[in-house]
Amino acid sequence: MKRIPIFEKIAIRVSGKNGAFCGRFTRIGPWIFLMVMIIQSMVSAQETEGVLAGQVRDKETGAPVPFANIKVLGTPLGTAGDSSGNFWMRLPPGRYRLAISSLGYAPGYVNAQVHAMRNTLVEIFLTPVAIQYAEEVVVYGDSEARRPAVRLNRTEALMERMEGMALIKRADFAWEPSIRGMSAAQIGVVIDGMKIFSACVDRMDPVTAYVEVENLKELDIRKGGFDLTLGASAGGTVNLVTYKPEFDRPLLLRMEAGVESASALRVARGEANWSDGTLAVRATLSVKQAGDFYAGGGRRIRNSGYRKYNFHVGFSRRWGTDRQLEFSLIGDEARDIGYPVLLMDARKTSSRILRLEYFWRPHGRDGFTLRSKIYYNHIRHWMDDFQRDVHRRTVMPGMYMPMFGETHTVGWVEEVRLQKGTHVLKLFLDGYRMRAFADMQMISLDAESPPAYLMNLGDVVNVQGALALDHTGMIASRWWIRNNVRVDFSSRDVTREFGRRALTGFWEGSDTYRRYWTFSASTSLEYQFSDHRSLRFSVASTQRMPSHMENYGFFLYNILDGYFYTGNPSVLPEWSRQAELVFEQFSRPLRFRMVGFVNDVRNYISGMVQSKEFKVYTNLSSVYWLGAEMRGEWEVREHLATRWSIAYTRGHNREFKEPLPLIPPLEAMVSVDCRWDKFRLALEGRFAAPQNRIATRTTLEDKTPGFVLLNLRLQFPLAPWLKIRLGMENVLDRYYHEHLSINNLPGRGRNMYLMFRILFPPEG
Amino acid sequence: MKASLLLFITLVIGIWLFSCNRNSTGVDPEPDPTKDLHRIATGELEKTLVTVYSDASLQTGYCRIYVLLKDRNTGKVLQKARIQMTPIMDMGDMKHSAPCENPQTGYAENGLFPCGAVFIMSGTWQLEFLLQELENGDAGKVVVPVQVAPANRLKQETGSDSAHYFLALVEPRSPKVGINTFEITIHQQESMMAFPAVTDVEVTMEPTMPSMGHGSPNNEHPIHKGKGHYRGKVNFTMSGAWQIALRVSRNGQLLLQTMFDLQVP
Repeated sequence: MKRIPIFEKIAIRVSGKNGAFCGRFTRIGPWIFLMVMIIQSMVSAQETEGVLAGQVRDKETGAPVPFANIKVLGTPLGTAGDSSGNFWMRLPPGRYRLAISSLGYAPGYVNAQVHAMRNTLVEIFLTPVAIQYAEEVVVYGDSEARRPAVRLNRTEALMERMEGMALIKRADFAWEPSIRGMSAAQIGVVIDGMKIFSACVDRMDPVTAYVEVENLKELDIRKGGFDLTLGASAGGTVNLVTYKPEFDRPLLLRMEAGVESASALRVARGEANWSDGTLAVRATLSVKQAGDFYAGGGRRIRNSGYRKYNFHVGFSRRWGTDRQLEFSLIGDEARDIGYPVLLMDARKTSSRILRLEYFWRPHGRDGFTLRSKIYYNHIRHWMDDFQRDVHRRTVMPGMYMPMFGETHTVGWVEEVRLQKGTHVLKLFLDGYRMRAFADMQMISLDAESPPAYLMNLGDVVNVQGALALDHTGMIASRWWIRNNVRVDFSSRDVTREFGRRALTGFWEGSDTYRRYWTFSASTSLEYQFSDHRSLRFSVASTQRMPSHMENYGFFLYNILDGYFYTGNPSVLPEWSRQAELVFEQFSRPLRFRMVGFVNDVRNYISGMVQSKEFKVYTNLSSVYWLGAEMRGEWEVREHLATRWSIAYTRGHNREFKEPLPLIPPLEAMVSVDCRWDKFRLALEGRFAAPQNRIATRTTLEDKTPGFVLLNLRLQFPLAPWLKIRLGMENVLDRYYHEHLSINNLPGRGRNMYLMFRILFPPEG
Repeated sequence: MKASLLLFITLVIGIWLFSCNRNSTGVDPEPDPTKDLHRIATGELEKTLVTVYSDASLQTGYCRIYVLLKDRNTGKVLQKARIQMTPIMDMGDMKHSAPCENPQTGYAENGLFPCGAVFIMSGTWQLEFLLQELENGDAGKVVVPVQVAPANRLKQETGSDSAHYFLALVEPRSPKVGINTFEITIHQQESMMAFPAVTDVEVTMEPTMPSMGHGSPNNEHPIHKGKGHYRGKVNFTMSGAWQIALRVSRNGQLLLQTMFDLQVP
């Protein structure tokens, strides 16, 4: 059992003068004052809390369950277990209900009574399951970190199941996430908190492609701009949390092989974990090959296959339970990816993502943890149209256009966490340097016509740094508050003369060098009616810097409107003001959550027609999104549960007096999950209403009819070492396309899959 | 030891910070105005050495020509003279001239007397320089032969008024991606020896990439700047083959249309 450290007083001295930022940052003053007050309140907090500690263990084997997530229901508080399954936290006296979750286990719940100045010990047993229920594992505030719900074959399919999330599909490969109708630079997509920038200027390589499902531990989705710890964005952040080496698995081997019918997908995956208690190594490898996929009604979508290889290697070394060093390398390679609705296909993609992280939670320093992370990633993307009939193409006919893009990013994140009673303060220092290059050749079929050449990104260098503070705490009985403050700085320029000259052809006389300062802040206030119900109101003001493509991109073809876009070094940051109201009920057997939100964005960055075929990025006056979401769960019987979700978003462009493009329609999902012993069955229904609110002035968007899909999934063990997973997606073989599918790329038709999973050591 | 090391580092940094760079001391030598020019011919008067330069090898179209005059006895560069240049093409049974430009003043600019000529065909030309009122009291005529290579920077068009016009591309000489100065000259052929500058027309310009089927934004139509020179701006958004279409109008009536081909590296 973990040793409970003795309470130690933390002395924090903060200067009371908050006028240092006055003048230039007049908006900062009140927030600095607020943070000072919060810190002072922490220092003066009464030490009347008790300690709640425990261990999470496997119900069948008794083995510790490492790194489980523990949430105190009805509060924003929570913690995570260590590698031995131990956890502890300080809480005010009272009766609490804990929700414990970990991948591979059904969520567990336990009640605990915390007494002042006393330790309360709990022991929690989790039941291993094969089909896992979607479970919220909120640790702090309103981030929604959910483990994979049902074991699926692709990371993107997990995102698609969440209300308010949608995917922009350009092929049967690498779907780009959208949160509440916002996408691209308006949201952030990170891996383990690392900034990674796509290399393809046509957005064909979203970051989500680099984490295969076997490496995805959690899908941490933070909607809106309320959580600023991973970045300042108007729409939110998707954090793909990967698996780390496990110290309590001396030797673990898992292999999976299977097929899917819709695209003749063949997939093989392997996973190995070894540890001697202080050193742990984990490695995975997956190979996928898919042919053309078939849409509903047996329609073959030609040129839609791909090949993909992915590996992930991790090393962890720990010293006791308070210090740990991790290294990980993700490698992803894909070849010959067909994009049937775009002008080009990706010939090759290559990425290397390295991370070195140090974690320190010293004994005797209550509530203090330090996490340091340095990372580097290199993303490359090649695409061409050599396999296309370019004679008959309407856009730039009679020529081939091979393109290349790459990004290098090196970054550093420092996270300090302080806890005093119910107050948690996190300090983030986040900096990175990114370099992006992209170019394009135009080779005419007319042999006498010499090739043309341009740089889409002429070695753009962006050095960005940020300081963020995140505070959560109880301010009165049943009242909780959370505050986020973030200041970002960026210095950026185009460094290649060729690229700079091309760009200044559009902005003659303007200097391409730009420096930005942005300030973002948010506040959430939560009132708990009871242990099972809460109401939260959040407001935020965030500034989103222009992306490097919005500043410096050149000749970027936008298939949505048929224009070539040029970056604008003078574009201003978007300014978002948003609010959210959340009502949540935690009680069993019925749990649900209702959300209403509004997001008003000024200086909205969009394209403005400059000349025939050309648009430049500029700031429009304003746009807004508003919408509502609801999700719920009803545990009908011990072996039967239903889950449902529904989401609606409405986006409006005030400048052009029309709806915003790429807004998902009203969508709903219902699932019925049954389990008998180790036999699992899930029946899912997905409903999408027609989307008739479309942007006709700014894009070529068209209306999208509604659809209904049914999926059936089954999972059972044939032997302790062999599991079978099979299912049928789009059972009714509907021909459909989603509103966010580019050029109305159809969805898959009826798809049957069969997967064999071999486990060593055997389970159960 | 530490103190010594600190002192040493401080000294090194101080020397580095306060040391002068290579160009901060000394006297710059007198720049040679002919350094980047091509010498194309030489001639002599009684007391004067005449050297003719151009900024590139001579080609059909507009060429800048510079005359350097030196006193043969003293070697001094002469700053004052009146120069009149006439290009002559001797075709045996006939002779003709070409549009040309002479120095506006009787004084050298940076030691050189700038001239210009629009060679309307390739081959061997004679450049006649009538030199008067030289600073050293010398005067006379110098004729030098020069070779003109063919190039695609000149257009001969017949206008809607049935007159013959020569349009020569002056800039860009070395086109680059991005904004370039665009300059042409327009001359009318009145006779075999008279080619006056056209100063009263309106010119519109549109660059396009024929292989790409698109043009570029942020171009400026050329406007008259004097002596038949029309100057504007052209934006090449990428490297490759470009065409610059020109429409020349007089009093709103289309006079002629032509097109220049350019390869942007």
